[in-house]
Amino acid sequence: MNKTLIVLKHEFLQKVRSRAFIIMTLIGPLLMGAIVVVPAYFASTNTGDIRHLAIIDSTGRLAQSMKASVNDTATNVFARVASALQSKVLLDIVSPGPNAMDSLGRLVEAKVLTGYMTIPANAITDSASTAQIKLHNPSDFTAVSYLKDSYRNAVRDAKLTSRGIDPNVVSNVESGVHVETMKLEAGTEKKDSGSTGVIMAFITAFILYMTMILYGTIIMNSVIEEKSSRVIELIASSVRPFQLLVGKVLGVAGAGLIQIGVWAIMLVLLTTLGLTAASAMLGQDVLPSISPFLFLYMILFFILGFLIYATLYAAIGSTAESASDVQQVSMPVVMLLVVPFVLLQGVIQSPSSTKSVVLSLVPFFSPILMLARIFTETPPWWQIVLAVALMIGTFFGCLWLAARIYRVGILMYGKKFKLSEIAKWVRYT
Amino acid sequence: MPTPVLSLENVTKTYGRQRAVNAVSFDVQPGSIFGLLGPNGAGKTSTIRMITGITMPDSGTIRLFGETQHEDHQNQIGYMPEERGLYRKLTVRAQLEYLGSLKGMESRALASAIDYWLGRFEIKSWEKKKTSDLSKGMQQKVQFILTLLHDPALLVLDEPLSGLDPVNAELINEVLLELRDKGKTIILSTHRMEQVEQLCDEIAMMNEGKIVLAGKVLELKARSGRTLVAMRFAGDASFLKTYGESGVKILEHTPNEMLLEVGPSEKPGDLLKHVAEYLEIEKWELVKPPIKELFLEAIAKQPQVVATLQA
Repeated sequence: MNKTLIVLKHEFLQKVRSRAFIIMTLIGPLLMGAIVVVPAYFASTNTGDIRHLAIIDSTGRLAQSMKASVNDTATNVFARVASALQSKVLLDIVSPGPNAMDSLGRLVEAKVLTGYMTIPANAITDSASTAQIKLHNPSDFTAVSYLKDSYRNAVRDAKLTSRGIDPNVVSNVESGVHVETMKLEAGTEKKDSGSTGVIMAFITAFILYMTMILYGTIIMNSVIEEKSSRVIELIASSVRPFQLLVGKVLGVAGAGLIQIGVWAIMLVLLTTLGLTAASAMLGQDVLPSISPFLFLYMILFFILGFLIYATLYAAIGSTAESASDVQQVSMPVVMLLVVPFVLLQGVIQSPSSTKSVVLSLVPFFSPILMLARIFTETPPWWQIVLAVALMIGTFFGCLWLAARIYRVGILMYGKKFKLSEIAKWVRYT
Repeated sequence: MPTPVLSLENVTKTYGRQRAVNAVSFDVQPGSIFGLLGPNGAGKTSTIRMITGITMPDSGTIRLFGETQHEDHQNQIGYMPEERGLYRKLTVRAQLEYLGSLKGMESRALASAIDYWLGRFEIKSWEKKKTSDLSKGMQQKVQFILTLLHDPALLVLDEPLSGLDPVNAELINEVLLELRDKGKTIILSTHRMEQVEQLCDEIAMMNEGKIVLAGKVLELKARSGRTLVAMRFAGDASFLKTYGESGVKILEHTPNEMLLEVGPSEKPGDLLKHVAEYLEIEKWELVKPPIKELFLEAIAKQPQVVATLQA
């Protein structure tokens, strides 16, 4: 068997069989899911309670319509969420009086009452007037939203009525105005809110950034381990450094792809389930439509970016004997990953500008920036092909460079090396 | 005369500004134990790395088994580096399997070779243990097995005894002699001259990147023309220290033994008569100079060109 394949197989099996790998592969999505699910769960248990609110209405005209609208799921989006989460709001109207506030205040302190609202007498006539909401927990977003929303509607309706306009007329006029954004490409039109592309661009950029750093570090540590345990000298007398490097990068990359593949499948399932539930809850379709082509692009750019960065990290590893020695040397590579992340927002906002086009063609940035452009618009095909070609070329360039650093680095012991010294190794015959 | 197993011709290697190996040439005959000697930093390890194919010479040629050096030769060389180590997290067997397969071994031959050597070194019951759980002596055995596993025609051992406990050192010496008798060729690099006296048929001595002396051990000794006396005695021999001016030099000195060099103007017989007046002599033997002396002599002659002795 070819020695590169022996190294590849060994590195791949070493990774895939390790307990840490298996646990992380299975638990990773659960952790990611937990980040989404746990806060939602807490939010739902909070709102699952019955909220008991009171209003002291000094105008005497607003409280009734507020009470009517507060649980009206047709006009109040919060009421819709609340009814989906099976939480309830009870609203009491308290007539204003000298002791009304004190007694309500005591009830709130005793947590019998969630909170209460005071509406000033000039609420309808004076636009500078301010209503107050007092709660034992002012961060109770749901309770505050209920009160604010229904107060705003009630004041608006009252103002309209006082000017002789029927509020229903206004509601009728406001409704029935619909705007839809469509993605127009290659003669087909697709319903697309635009935000899906932006969100996907950010999510994939983040995943790429994380996994490249994660797996880059794994490869780097595997190189460092061979060096610090001194087993490398024996390996180097059996395999050419180039074969060792390629086998290592591809072996660990294979393990990484399997892990990320498993994560991706689980993540897609989880979000589909979550968003389907959310769609049902909110009564509108929030499921993004992502074409399968985008997934193919993701995989392609991911693999190429992965190979480029993994190779660079392997070269860095060969210059050090312990993980703490590599900080200075790994800085340039980390910068190459951080820069496109910083530029991401600008590129998403104007994906076709000359600046965006040029930046997305830089091979070290392409995995994040070209992919972001693909998600937000469809760049000309030649730009995608050019980016892929440049990345493939860069991979081989990095491989050549890394191999030259690697074959010298693995045999150098005893000190930390500066970048200038490492640059000299490249010129060694 | 048989084709040399290894032949270096004008091999030079430079690191940065330092010329680690400078126009080195020597041959190693099949079935012999060849000693590459010299102090630390003489260029031994640099030379060995080129022989084992880890690095390439800047100039000069290396021939192995009568052919110009190529990649597949690595499979025929067993190498025990001075900087040695094992994968800490791999089991003994997994370690041997991976490194054996990197030497081009087929899995069935590999399995039986592993079984043989684990049995021979009596560590079969440890094959499932991780390296990090092994004692140092055990790790040394595993390291030595890695050198022998693929039945190499040429063994290259860099400072094989450094860090070894006496039991393992004895075991290695024993196995080396056995392999030599089976026709394997062995290159030993060391700065410890006693081991060379014990094992080597032929030597090359390096200093500052150059070969300063090379040839068969016996011939080099015969050539030296120096008169040395090994003496065992009882009594106070301190008077000999001032005796030096008349042509007697103390080379080695322990409480009851001395190695003396007798100058050309002095006769060993006269010296014995004189010394016997002061000391009780238990042994008085004319000996060939030890390799260490030859080495010091050769270095003293630098930078004159030292003729390479070829049989």
